[in-house]
Amino acid sequence: MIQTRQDEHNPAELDKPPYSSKSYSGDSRHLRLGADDSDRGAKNSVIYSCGRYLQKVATGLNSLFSGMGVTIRYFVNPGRIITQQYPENRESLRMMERFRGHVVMIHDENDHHRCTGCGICEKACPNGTISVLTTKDRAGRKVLGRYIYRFSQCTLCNLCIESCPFGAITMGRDFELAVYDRQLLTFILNKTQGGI
Amino acid sequence: MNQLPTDTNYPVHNIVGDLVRHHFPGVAGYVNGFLTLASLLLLVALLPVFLIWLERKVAAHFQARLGPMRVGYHGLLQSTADGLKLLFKEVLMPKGADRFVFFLAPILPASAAFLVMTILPFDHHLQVADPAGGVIYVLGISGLSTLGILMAGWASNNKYSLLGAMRSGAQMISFEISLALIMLLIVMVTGTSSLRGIVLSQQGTILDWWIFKLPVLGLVAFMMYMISSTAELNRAPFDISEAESELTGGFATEYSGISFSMFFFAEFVNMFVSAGLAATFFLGGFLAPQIGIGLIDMVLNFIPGFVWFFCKTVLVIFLYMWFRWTFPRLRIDQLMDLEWKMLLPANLVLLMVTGVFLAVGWIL
Ligand code: SF4
Ligand code: SF4
Repeated sequence: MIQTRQDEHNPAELDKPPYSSKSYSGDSRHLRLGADDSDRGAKNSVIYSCGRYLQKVATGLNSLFSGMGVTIRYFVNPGRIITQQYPENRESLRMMERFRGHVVMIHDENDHHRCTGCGICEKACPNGTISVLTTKDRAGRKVLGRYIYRFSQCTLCNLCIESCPFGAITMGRDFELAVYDRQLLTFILNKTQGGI
Repeated sequence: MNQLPTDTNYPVHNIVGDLVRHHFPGVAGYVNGFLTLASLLLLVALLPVFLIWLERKVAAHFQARLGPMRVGYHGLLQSTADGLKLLFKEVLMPKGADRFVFFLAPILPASAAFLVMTILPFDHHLQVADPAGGVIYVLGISGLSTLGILMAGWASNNKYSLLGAMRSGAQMISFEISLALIMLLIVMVTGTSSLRGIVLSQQGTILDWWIFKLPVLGLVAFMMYMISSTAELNRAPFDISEAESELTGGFATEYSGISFSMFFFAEFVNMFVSAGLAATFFLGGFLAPQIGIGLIDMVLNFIPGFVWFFCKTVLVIFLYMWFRWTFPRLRIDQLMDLEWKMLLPANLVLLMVTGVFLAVGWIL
């Protein structure tokens, strides 16, 4: 039967350091029936051994059956299968909530974004993936000009998203990102110049 | 209860056999014998294909996956495709390996499975041979697959192979004792060691199967048979002879192509044989699961015996798969402890108590 080691230790042994005590001599001794150095007389009695044996069988079987219970519940619940048959279900495939595609900028319905061009994300990125190029608007204020994002260098670490004080960027849900030309992996994330 | 006749009265009449006997009276014995073996060989060749597919599907569903889905309907042809691929792969032999033994080894487990299959009672008269000492024959032959694994490990000239083979040898020799003792128990309660005789001793309702007929003890014996036969089959949780994560494949490390597939196929045929024996010993073999209600029993009896046999066998195979995909692998010392300190004493006690039961007559 499969045992957990804990129930092989008797309580008196628990306060000893596990690997230095003299009663410890390899793993296998812990599986022996009623063999322990302390009060050998009582523990070598037939009744003790039989009781120990039956207890082992009972706990062993119990744990085996509970394990089998877990797996059979998976077996009879095909609804819990999360395997996607990708090329076939391309149309209906929904990506998982926590999936990270490449960085995208959040735009509202008027194609406005929240980026102020502060450049904090650029500094947060460990790979130099982002370049925030700013420009001046008609009032002379500094606004975002082009937000350049080089996907080929991105490790999808999420640091830029966490560092942005305005929540202007997020991780996209796209997963078909392969292209034949490396140049195509450099994106300009903002659709419009200027801020909010 | 309509008792099946216990006498053998060969030749058994069936369409093919009668046709051959009618047209070639002189050589009918040879032709029919050949046809029997050929059909068995076909079964041995096709079973693993189905069982491997089943194993992969069952494993996948136990792990909330789908398993093979692409080749054929729900991946039905997947193992055929894999088998074909293996056929065309190059057969490699490591430098310094013993050529003769190296190529002989994969044949042994497969032939052992085939030889045991010849005496499995698929139906009342669907059995190639019914030797009086069938149980002893089974025990003797199943040693062949151990021999094959030992030879493979020895001839491979590879430390992982050798380690795996030695572990496997130790494991199989140990668990064979338990297996033999359980078979002895069955022989003791049935009074016969012919497999057909064992099945015929379980006629009646479900309660007359040995798993229930021997109150409580039958169930215990069945569980012990399942444990020791899983170990005998080298299947997880007792797959220490392969132990991919420790031994990179154990005895099969150096095998490739067709020789590897021989091992692989033999493993699954052996599983079928073991499950078939479990069905024969404990689950009434080819007998219908009658429940004692006249009408339902009539319908159940109408279904031919080999269908019942295969149903029961597949049920036991499912149990094997359930074990495999639930339990973690045992360490070798735990495995030995399990046999020598847990199973073997329990077996002896069981045998003794069964003797008492028999003497007192506590049999349903
Ligand atoms: S996810 Fe990480 S690597 Fe990618 S742009 Fe953001 S900070 Fe840089
Ligand atoms: S995305 Fe956020 S952090 Fe980066 S420049 Fe825009 S506002 Fe600043």
